[in-house]
Amino acid sequence: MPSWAPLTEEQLQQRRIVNVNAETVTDTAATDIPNHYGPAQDDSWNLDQFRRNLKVEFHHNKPYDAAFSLIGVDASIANAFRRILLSEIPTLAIEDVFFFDNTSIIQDEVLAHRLGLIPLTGGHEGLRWMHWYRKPPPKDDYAAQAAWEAEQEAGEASAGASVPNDYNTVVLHLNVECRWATEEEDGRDGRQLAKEGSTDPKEKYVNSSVYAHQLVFDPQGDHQPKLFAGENRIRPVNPNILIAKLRPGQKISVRLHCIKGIGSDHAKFSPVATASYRLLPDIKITKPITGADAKAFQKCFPRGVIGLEDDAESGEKKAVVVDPFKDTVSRECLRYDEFKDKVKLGRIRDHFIFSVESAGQFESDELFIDSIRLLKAKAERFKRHLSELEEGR
Amino acid sequence: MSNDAEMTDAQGGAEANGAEEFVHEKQRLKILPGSSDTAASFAFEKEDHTLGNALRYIIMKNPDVEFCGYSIPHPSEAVMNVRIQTWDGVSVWDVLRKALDDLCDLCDVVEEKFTKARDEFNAEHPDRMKKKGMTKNKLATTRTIQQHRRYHEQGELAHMKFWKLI
Repeated sequence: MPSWAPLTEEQLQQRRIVNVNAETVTDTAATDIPNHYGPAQDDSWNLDQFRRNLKVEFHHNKPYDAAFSLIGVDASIANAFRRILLSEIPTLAIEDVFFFDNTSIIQDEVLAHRLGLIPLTGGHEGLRWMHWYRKPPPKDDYAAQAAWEAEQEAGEASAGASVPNDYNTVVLHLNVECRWATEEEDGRDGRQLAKEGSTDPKEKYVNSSVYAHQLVFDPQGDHQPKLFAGENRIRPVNPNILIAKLRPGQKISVRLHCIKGIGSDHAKFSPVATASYRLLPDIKITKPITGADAKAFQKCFPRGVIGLEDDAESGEKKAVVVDPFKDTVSRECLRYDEFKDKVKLGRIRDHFIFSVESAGQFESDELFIDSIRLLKAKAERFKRHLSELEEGR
Repeated sequence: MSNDAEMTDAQGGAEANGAEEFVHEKQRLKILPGSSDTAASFAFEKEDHTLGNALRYIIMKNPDVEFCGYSIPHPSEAVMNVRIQTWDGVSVWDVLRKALDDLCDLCDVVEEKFTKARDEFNAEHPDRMKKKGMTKNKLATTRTIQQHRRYHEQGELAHMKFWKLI
């Protein structure tokens, strides 16, 4: 019922809940927009109120895995941060692979693809300093080709393909050749071991497996040796990624060009393994659940969600909500008649539990700050464009 | 192919290039035909749901706005349209500018609060960088693998005994 009075505290809390019923989900849309209720309810944008309501609570903050709650924002804003994390924060990844020799059984294009997916890391200052590398679109992508040509004709300042240089490209080398182990060099005779029946390639050969740590960074120009020195060198996040397997006489010799890119171009540029959120579950026990029912009710939820308390009234155990954070909202409790009308499940509309797993180039918490700044940068850019458009009118 | 060209060292000016791009920024905002001062559609080029939905929300938060919605007319074209209609002759230009300002303010507040919460959390948990101790389960798995390896080294018979194959 619409009323002319502003919402009471109870109503304000109720509109934060998304109802999760046995078969349906109701009240999914946010109603905190002006004129949704009577004129006395003020839902217009208010920065001070937003500041007061916004809460951030960290659950854990490991370098490459952060979990925190963002409380008091709309889904559209939380989703913007998530989308930016996945596809708009630039990272460095291998883009071009130049083959000098590849006699392994992995085809050039497959090996190039595998190499491209290896997460790299290095000095953050240097990575942020790196410039964009503009690549012409692939020859078989006609739509992109047409757009590219139109841009060239318009003669924009940023038009034209980049030339690889020390500002926009990082060079890595991978030169590995597999051979038999020899007494002089390796202290064991691979051929002899083979005669004796050894089947272990690690024992018989040298370089039978090619790992990511065998990628060698080759700094270019004046800045790269300083920015990517020592601990800051460009290197794979995980040194133990298996790239290829070789047998004696087989060789891989490639040069790799790494450039800065974004996840919407290719997933290898995405700075996160996953970035996701869920809404905090809300469990309301509307009528007391006691005795054997309480135990059964507890079993409907993951461990730690529901606790048992001594009830003074009935003298039995009573079910109480202990930690809704651990709930998975399985809705198991809604399947039984004994809990009918005794429990209400829901989720809190503006309580986002974020989980940001970095792929290893940047720390998770830094990535989230980057996503906030990127959204702001988008708004700032269109402020400039709006002024320009209004002037030219 | 031109890609195979030798790498060159950039001559000083590369840094200035970045700043130049900023000045000659391409106009990515257009107003669609048929728009008036109180009811207009804007086309945002190279934008998607990320900015579209966030902007829609913040525009709708303005009490002068009668209607606001966004759409992506075709998935193959990187264009996002925003429709704004206002009450009482309020200019859509002012509404859009206020929305972009509000979005910037919002981001500043989120960043401020996030950084504060993170710093406080890190101060309370100085050992967060250390790897947690191995759980019982993980230890058991490691032990099994080591045992397996040892038996394997001792010979096939022991190995098969270990896996209860004989």
